[in-house]
Amino acid sequence: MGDIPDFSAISSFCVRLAFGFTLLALATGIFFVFNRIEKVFKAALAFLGGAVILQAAAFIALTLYFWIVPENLYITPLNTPRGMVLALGLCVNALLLLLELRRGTGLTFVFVLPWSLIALAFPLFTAVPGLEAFSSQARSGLSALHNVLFIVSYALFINAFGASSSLLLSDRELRTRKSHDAAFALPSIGDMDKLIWRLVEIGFPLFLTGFVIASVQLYVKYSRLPGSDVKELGALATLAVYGLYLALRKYGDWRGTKAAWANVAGFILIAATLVLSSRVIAYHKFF
Amino acid sequence: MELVLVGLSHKTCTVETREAFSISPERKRLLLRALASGKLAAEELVWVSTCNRVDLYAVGKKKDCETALIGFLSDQSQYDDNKSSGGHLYSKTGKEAMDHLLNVACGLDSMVVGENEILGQLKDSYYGAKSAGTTGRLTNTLFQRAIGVGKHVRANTKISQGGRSVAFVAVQYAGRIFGDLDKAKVLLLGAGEMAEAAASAFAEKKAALTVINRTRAKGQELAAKFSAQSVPWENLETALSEADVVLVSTSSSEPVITKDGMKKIMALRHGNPIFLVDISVPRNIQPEVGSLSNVYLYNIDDLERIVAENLAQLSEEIKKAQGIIDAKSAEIWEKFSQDSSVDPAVFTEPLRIGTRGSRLALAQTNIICDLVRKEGVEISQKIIKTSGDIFLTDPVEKLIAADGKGLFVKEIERDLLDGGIKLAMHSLKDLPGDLAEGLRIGAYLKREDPRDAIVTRTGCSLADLPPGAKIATGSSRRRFQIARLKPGAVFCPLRGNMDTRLAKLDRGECDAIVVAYAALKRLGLENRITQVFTADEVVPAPGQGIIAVEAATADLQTMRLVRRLDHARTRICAECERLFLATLGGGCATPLGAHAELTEEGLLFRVFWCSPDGRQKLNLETYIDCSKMTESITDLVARIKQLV
Repeated sequence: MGDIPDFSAISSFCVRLAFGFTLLALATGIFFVFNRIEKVFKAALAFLGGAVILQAAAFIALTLYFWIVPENLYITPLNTPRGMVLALGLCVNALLLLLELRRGTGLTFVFVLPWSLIALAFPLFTAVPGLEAFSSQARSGLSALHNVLFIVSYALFINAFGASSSLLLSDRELRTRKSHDAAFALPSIGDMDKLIWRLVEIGFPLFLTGFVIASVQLYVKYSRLPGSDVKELGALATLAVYGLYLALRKYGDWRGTKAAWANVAGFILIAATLVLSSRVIAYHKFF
Repeated sequence: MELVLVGLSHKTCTVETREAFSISPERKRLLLRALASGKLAAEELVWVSTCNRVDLYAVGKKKDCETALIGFLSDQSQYDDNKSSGGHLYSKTGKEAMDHLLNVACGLDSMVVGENEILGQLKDSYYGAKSAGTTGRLTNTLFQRAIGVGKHVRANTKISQGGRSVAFVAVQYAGRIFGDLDKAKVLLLGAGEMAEAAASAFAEKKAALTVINRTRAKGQELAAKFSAQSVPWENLETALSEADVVLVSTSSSEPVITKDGMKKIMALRHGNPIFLVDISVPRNIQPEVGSLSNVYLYNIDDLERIVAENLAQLSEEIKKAQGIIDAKSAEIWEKFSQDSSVDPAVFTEPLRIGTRGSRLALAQTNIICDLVRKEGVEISQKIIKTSGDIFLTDPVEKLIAADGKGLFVKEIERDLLDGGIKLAMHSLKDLPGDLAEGLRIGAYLKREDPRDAIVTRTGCSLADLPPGAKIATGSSRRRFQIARLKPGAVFCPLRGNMDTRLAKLDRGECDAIVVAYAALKRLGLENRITQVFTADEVVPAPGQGIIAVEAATADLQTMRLVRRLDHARTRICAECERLFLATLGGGCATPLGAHAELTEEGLLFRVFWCSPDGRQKLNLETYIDCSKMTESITDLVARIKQLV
């Protein structure tokens, strides 16, 4: 054991650094919105890139830490709370980085990164769990798959929320005839509307698949359908909101501000579900 | 040598006058011809000709150059106003001229302050001049720095941001809704002056324009100006459902677009955002329309208020930009002055210049010494014997084969590196492609006539020489080219200094000798010349007629002094010829001629190449783009290698 690096300490260290980098990315992103200095935006992207690398390193170190127990070998910690939030933060930041590299608006930093910081705060302020063999829940491959699908779709929805918030702010600024600096840094409404559509178009099927997998597991194990706890109800409501948005965007006139409000509502549901199911009521009892 | 600017702009004259002074392609040729002939008294030149200005930046002798540039612009303009053109022209020199350039680059001198287009125009002008080979050390530095400052000011101030006109603001706000406007559909309701201004602004962004006017003919007229589509008034609803931006400027006294009508249109549009700009008075769009979701309605007051806010902000930004320019200007000028001025006091003892001991070498060294003394610096000469001077009887080709390139320079360069001399004089054609490490050519003196000349014993021309006449030359390049002009001539080797060569001719050892015209001229022996070959007949050797001054790279003071002797136009030709020589891989024993000449059409480059046995010969003439010299020469060499 003496030769094995302290993966738990490495993971915690990477989380601390990733938190710092994300914070710096947020600060420089806000500065860019008000000053539009290209170098500042590049710095923000660099910080975000650094955070993504550190988050990936933290997740890998956490995995290696769990693998010290032979029974855990080759099982990802995606089904543990720490592993899940680490992966969620990583996905949110990585997706934001990709979007900003392509679009360069800077504004979505302001609306998305606070949620990454919250995701990072959990592993930052809680201790790495002790070494023991994973429970049967944590070992489940199907559980890991539904978690991955949920994490990726949440990352897409959070970024869609960022784009929606930008759109609503742009709308507000245009209606109040603002001509100050930040107003000019806002991305165009048309671009944001298309971005929201694309993100939800990808995120919704992933979320739906994750939900179906979870429902099948639930039925097999407990012979019941989802809808009996906060998380399940929240997930159903989330599905309904995003499904409705997609249908009305495609066949109705839900574009621009209407689309943005629908996405804000979807995001609030996700946030409420996560908070209520994990903190206020009991943790989601799946098995 | 000083930076001189002569020009005129929208601040000093009307558009008609600017048109009369603009630099057309034909006038550009005249300008280049005047520069080449020395009429402009300038060594470097960059012309900037846009719709708002005509500026000529030159490096030359202050008074002469200024007068010549004013003269050129006045003579060449088709200006027939009663006033003299001098009333519109401004002239600035030194730092004032540089500050002007920086202000232009930053858009502070533009009609629309802060506009970006001028930076591109400045770049185009600079590269145009560079391609034509009229830029030099000073203009290269200045323009590169000015373009850099222009970018810096735009990146660090908001001088280019914010619309300055109602039409511009409309375009800007449309961009905030739709992003790039190249795919946006813009509908113009009405065909008045405001509609035209807006159409022009949107057309610049490549938006698709449609015009609707109650009087169809007027609408069609406006549409034709912008390659737009014109549709009848009856199709208004369909046009509104398809448009992204609608500019309303009709003279209707009743609203043309009502809230109820717009609701229907939004349903047809599937809720897609629409930007409505009402620039008509009285308003033609019901104000309540603006409360609809995804409808953005601006009226003329909104736009004018934004313009006023932008202009107020602009004055602050101008101050900021001016601050940056002042700081950068001081910095650039200090470096510029340091680079271009020499304090003779730093040379505590006379500079020593190394040279070969021939009469020609000494005459050439004297030219350098005179120029150095004009800078107020004392100079003395040191004669150095080179391998080429020691083995006078062996053919050059044999010596090169035994001793490598640099037959006439190696010993001089060694002394230069050892510190025995501070400068070295070389005939450029004797210098190998690669100099010794730590040495650099600091200056190319103004080129003397590079052509070859023949001196016959009887005074007859080459054509009149009898068949079988014996022509002496040590150069295979000359031998192969003259053999083509005089078939049947017999060639014999010739070496030694000019006096030795002429003595051989006078003794009857040959009927004619072929030598460089420049050498005879520098020795005051022009009267001996029988015939001068054109550069087409006998392509000169690379670097022929050019004196190069070499110095140690690390010796900054001497290098700075030497740089003042540099002739920008000669440098371009010399660098082109040497680059060609290095790329082709020829030495001074290769039968190779290469001659670059700055003409009004650009850098004309002539090449003669011949295989050592004389079986394959190639004559080629092409224009080289001076701004892409390496690429152009590499391509040319590749072409030559393919041909042979």
